[in-house]
Amino acid sequence: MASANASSTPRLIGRRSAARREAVAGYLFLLPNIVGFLVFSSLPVLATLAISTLHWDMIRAPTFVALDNYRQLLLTDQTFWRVLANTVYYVVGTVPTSIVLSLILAMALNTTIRGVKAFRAIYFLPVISSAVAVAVLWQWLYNSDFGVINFLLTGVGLPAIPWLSSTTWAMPAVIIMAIWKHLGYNMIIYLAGLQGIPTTLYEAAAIDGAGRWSSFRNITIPLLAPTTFFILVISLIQSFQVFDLAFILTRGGPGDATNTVVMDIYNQAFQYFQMGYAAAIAWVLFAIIMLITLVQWRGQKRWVHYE
Amino acid sequence: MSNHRITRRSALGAFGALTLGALVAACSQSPPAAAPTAASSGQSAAPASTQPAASTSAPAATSVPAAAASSQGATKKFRYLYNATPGVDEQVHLDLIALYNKLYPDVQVEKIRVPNDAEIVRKLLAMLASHDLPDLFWNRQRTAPPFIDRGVLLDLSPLIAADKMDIKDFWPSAIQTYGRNGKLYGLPNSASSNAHYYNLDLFAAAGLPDLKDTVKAGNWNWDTLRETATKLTKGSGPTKQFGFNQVSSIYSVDMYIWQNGGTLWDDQITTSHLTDPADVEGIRWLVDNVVKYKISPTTQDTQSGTDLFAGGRVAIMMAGRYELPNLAKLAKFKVGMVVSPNGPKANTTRGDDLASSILQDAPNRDNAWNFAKMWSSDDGQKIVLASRRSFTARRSFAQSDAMKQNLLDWEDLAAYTDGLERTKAYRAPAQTGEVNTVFDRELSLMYSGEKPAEDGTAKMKQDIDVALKKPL
Repeated sequence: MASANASSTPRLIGRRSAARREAVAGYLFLLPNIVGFLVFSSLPVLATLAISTLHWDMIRAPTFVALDNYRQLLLTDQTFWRVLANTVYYVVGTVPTSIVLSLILAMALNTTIRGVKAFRAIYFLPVISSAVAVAVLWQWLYNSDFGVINFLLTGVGLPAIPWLSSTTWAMPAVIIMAIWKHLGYNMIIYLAGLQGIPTTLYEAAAIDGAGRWSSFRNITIPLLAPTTFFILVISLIQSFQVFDLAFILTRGGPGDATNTVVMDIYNQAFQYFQMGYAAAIAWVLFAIIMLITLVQWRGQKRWVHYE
Repeated sequence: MSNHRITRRSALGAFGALTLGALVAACSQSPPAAAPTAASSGQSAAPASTQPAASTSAPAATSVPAAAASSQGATKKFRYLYNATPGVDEQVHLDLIALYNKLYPDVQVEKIRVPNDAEIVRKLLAMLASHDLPDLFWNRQRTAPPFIDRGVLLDLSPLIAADKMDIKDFWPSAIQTYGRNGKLYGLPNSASSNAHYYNLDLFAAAGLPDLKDTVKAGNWNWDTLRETATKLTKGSGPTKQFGFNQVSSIYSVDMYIWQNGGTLWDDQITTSHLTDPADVEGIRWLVDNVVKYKISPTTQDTQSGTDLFAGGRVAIMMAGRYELPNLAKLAKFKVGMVVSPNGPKANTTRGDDLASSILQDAPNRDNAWNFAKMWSSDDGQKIVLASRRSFTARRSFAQSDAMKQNLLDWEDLAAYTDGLERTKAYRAPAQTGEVNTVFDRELSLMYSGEKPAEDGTAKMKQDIDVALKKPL
């Protein structure tokens, strides 16, 4: 017994040593990413929390104002509530439509027809295109005098729409462009989801007499629920952070019609020199996104089923 | 042998400590920049002055300062922040640096280039926040106020006095723009001249006389501008021809307010005057050109991505020499120019004077000051003119052969100098970003026909007054 213990101890030490070496190697592989995350993400995020309690123009020494920035933001700043409403309008306009359209597109391209890969690449092109180029292109498309969209509308007897110069139409214009730009990304995710559904399920359903609609409703939709949940969460987060497309297309105008929360953060920080106030807006936006994400997380238990 | 296992907890603890250390390091103040020595500081070498050195009689830097020797003992470098896009746009800065290197071969110039003037503000903010200062930056009317009012810039008056420069040689608007309470925070180096350019081919096609005749007859005013522009407006859709350009931004609309006898705000810049009848009428005149008379392009027309004047679709344009590169590249017509029209109450014009500003805590002030002087000197002004996009900052140089030789055959020196003598400085508030946002927002609503001038200016006043009362 004693000799058995004596012989097992070196083996145990050896196993521990190997495990330790493996752990060190593992952490060393992780180190560049972790350091990058800590220095370039965590640190700035924590810093903005501290900055949000300051009155700081980046030029002179900051002064501590505790929660004054938050109080002013939530209680007296009409612009903030206006841009928040605009942002919610954008989110509601883009997310559901984008999900439905990308699912339809993914199903249409989940076939074996000739040239399907080229079609997938074409639909994905806007995703990897420069936001500036896309916005400039859409400025031309939206031109009320000679834009293609108004040309088509007037061609079928509809009135021309002042897309970018009307407070009513400017946000729909941004929403349409954003859906077009991001459709390909969601489509690829859905395509991956669709290809993960076993064909045997459809075959079994067909044998049982299920039609295409019934298969779609009872097989495709439920089995795509995790994919839909992922797209929903990511799309909502991205939509609340809308900036580049709206900034380039309309600069937030006309009036404040397409001004968004992130645009307001940018203005407060770099146009008005109110870095503390801008940081406070950023944290309020974070809180809103976090709250919505938590609600979705809770809600997913009712409709998302993992195999 | 100790048996330490690296657990996730211990690893995260170590990273946490690392983060905390980095946070503390990042938040700690870096030591202040080394102050220039008394011997090397031009400021300390001259007596402090409460007035700009207007009383000195020597001409402004008419020649490059004989300061190569004076750079001995100074720091051997300086950092220059400017905005330009690579290529032709940047050439003027590269040429200035080359001239400086020739004059001060022992001083190294560190170039810090950003693409535009909005970016220069952001870059400067970041550099100030990180105590990583440039010594000198290319300043302009619209970027100057926040930095002047926050005490970031060096008062150049003592340096000007020590070098016996005559600041009266600079255009008055430049001194007003960079002056505060007898101090001067920028040495002017170029002027964005203001005039009205017009397409002579469109005038001929419409059977209209040259605008120079209108000026000579003493009839060049708002009424004749609108009347002429109406005759020059024709067509519709993408090829519509407009008589007069859309006047956008507070930096151009201000001229119409001044010419109508109005002012933007009170002397202390604490309350706007935008609902005064003179202001409302001035803005309404511009809005009517777009909405009522349709002789100026809509905002959407201007968003088409092309220069409507250079492209031949706008007949008359309020512009300055900054437009010349576009005209050289695009215009296929004869161009004419006259001074800006007289308004109902005044003949004030607008301008945009640019200057060299030195940071209060710049570690290499002497070298920066030498660069600023060189830029405003005759040789520096020749480089400015060579870019063919700016006008000289100095009255005396405007009459030089170099200036006359630099003009294109259709350019009118008298129209430029007349305009510059009549230029009023735009007194930008310290809250300039917020004020501009409000102004542009409401102006865009008026130009799109969604708000009448009364409502737009009322909202402008309401929101701008709130901004003006915000503490710096």
